[in-house]
Amino acid sequence: MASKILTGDMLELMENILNILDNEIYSLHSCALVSRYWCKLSIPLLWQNPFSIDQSPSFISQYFSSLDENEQIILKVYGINIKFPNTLFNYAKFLKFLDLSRLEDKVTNWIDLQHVNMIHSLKCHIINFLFKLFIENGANLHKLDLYFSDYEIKPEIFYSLERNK
Amino acid sequence: VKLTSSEGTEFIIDRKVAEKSVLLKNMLEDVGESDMAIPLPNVTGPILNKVIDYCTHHRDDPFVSQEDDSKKVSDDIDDWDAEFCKVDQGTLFELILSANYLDIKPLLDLTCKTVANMIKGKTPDEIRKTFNITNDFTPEEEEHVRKENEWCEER
Repeated sequence: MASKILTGDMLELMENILNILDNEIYSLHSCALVSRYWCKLSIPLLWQNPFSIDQSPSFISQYFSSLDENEQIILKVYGINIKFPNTLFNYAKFLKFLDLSRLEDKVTNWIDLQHVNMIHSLKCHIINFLFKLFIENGANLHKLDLYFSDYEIKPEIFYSLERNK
Repeated sequence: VKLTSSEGTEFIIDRKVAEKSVLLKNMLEDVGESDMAIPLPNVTGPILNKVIDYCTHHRDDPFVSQEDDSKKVSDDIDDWDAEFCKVDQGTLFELILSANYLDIKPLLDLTCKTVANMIKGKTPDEIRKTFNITNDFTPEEEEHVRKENEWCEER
């Protein structure tokens, strides 16, 4: 029989174990597919820093299921005409680390995947959509790197920056 | 210091060894030296024996505070510790529970790392087999999770 640690009792201990794997994307991905309980605990770790790993930018599409109609229309104007189905999890809220230069790279790669023209304003729109989603969904940023500087800005500052925009 | 395991077996150990456990350390500070055995109803004799082995071997290690974040590296297990963790799975998980209950952070880290290493690099099915976990996803759910996270497998 599986230990109770692995099947739902002692949440904290299971989190301890999975936290050790927090930069092992392949292993965490496997964990997410083991059982419902493992999934619930692994998904937040998998999505805490997706912009900074080498994996495919296709994950960005998963955020877009919560775009509103106007935002979807804007994407359509640029030729991105995909229906973003509802997702099991609200992935945007799991983001903890954000490095703007990495965000920009991933967005560029994501646009490439859609086979549309790389237009600066499209990139701007997408970056803004993402920011809005992270903020609206209560992403709890532990670290934010701005690419034009090496400052680490505290989340509170980041939020007030947004409010003052 | 006298300890009794869940089945009533008595263990006598040095205070210094006992103090590797924050739970026992606090208890000893509160109660002072006493001939009374401290009952540990959550820990069986064989497990307590292992825990004492660990604490005795590491008796002179500096105290690790909760904030120290050494957990990240899962390969830095020394030979003695690796040998110590070569136990059956039941024992390993009992050790985790006991380390948690007795509040022995380095032992908890070590045993959790050992489990993490058993997970590392495996497929979901291999993980289920290793730990005897039932897959309780419906096929649709499993497919959904797989689809939404397939980016992890793509470069």
